[in-house]
Amino acid sequence: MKFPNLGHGIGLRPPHYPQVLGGVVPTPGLDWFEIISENFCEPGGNPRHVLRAVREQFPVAMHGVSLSLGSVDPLNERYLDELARLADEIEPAIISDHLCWGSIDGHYAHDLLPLPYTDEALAHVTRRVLAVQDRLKRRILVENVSSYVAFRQDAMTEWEFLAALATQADCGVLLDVNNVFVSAHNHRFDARAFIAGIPRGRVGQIHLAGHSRNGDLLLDTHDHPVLDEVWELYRFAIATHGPVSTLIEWDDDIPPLDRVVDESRKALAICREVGLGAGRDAQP
Amino acid sequence: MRSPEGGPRLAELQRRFFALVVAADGVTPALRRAALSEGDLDALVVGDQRRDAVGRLEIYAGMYFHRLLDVLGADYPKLAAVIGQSAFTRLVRDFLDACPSQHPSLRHLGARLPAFVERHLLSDERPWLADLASLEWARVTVFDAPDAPTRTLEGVRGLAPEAFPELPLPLIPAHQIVVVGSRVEEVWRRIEAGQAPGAPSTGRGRLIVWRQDFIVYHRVVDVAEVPALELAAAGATFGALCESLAPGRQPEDAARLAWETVSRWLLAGLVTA
Repeated sequence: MKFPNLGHGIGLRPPHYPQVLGGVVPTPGLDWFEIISENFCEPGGNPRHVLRAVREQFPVAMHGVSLSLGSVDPLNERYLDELARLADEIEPAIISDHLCWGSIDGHYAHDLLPLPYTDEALAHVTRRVLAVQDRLKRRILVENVSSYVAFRQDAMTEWEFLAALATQADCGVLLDVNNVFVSAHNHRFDARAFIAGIPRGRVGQIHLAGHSRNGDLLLDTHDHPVLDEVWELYRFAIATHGPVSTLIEWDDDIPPLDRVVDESRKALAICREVGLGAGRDAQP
Repeated sequence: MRSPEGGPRLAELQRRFFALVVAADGVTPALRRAALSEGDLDALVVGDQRRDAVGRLEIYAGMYFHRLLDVLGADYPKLAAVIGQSAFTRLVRDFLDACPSQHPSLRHLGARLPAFVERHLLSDERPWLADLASLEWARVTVFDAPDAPTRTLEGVRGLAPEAFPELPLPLIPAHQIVVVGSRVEEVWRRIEAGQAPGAPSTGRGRLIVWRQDFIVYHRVVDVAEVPALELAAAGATFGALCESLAPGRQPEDAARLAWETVSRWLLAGLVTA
């Protein structure tokens, strides 16, 4: 099953709630919104109110940070129930989380911690993605994270791991182009080899964001515009994988909505330059 | 136990990694506590001339602490304002060390902070800090509690007189009663007004915290209102409320007092339709 191409969207963030409630309509660069699932799992109040208003106008993707797909802890059934309830209510076009772990022995780091790329980890994550997909009754997308640590025991590259996971679990890939760029710098690998190494037809969504420099390393901070090198990598990604739903993430020092949409329009412009047009499916 | 590829099994690796990045005193002291050398870490994690293995783990350690500090700072802005940012940072470090997060969502991270503050050294001199934290956490909880349709004052006024005795008074899910040992709402009010927080007056009491039109409010519960709230929570009707107020009063006075109380709740959007 192909993942829907929603066009170009942005993350729904609290500073934009008043403007969104004031009546935002789809426009080039603002075809859809992505939510951080955990921020909308509680049942009432303004967040749900805003989400319902958004959903009346736009397709929505649910992007989680807490599935902890790589953790050796059992999957958190209560959290899965919350995700399922939220999905039942808003009928998202896409559900995604990360190729990482964030909890151990029932304690949560609330971070996207890196996995060793071993056969043991691959078998473990594959089982869990299959279990999540069974529970949510749909395929999910799994996103590559930015990382600052690699493990000596790695038996394969990150993209080999992700490609094998996507094939074995029959899930999609949320290709975060900025994360590829950041990790490629931090671990000295070829970013284009990463992108080319993901099987065609598996990339269901792309993330773009800004990052920061920390000494000689890069940090995935989502507090800047997308950098030129990342735009170039995006161009390569869509030329390689075709047009897929593309999202701008901006989570810190968040500018006005229009500024974020401007960034999304740059992605749209590149899509057109590559000859892919606005490239989105009929809207759900 | 080693994995087939060499190196620790996944579970062991995650336990080691987690212990190092959440340690309150940093990666290097945590390594020492675990009787590990930096060489042992180098055998696990790839470092380079740009950043060694410890330095790379410290990135995660720094992000862990500062992310959670930011979340708790947003949940407890008045507590942070009263004790100052340095003391708040130390409090958060102590809290995370003693009460690591047990919920996948950061929304729940601060749930145990009021009880922790109550037994923290900070409360030796200012025992009311736990009250302030309890008020702030109630406001967080009410913010996204379940929605419910509410009765309006006009709607209830329009009821037939014979409907009043059986009128149910269920309060909305988005409300909490906070029992406090001080007039901590005074501190809240002064901070909101941009004044020095000062110290609250002493005296036990209750605060009601609720949400109306997506805005969170709180106020002091009048002494006479306490039993009425308890009755409402127990599912009492307006008639039962009048009866509870009847001893020592004329029936008309009891009914008037009950109506004054219920009117206040209706105006505040506290009664579920």
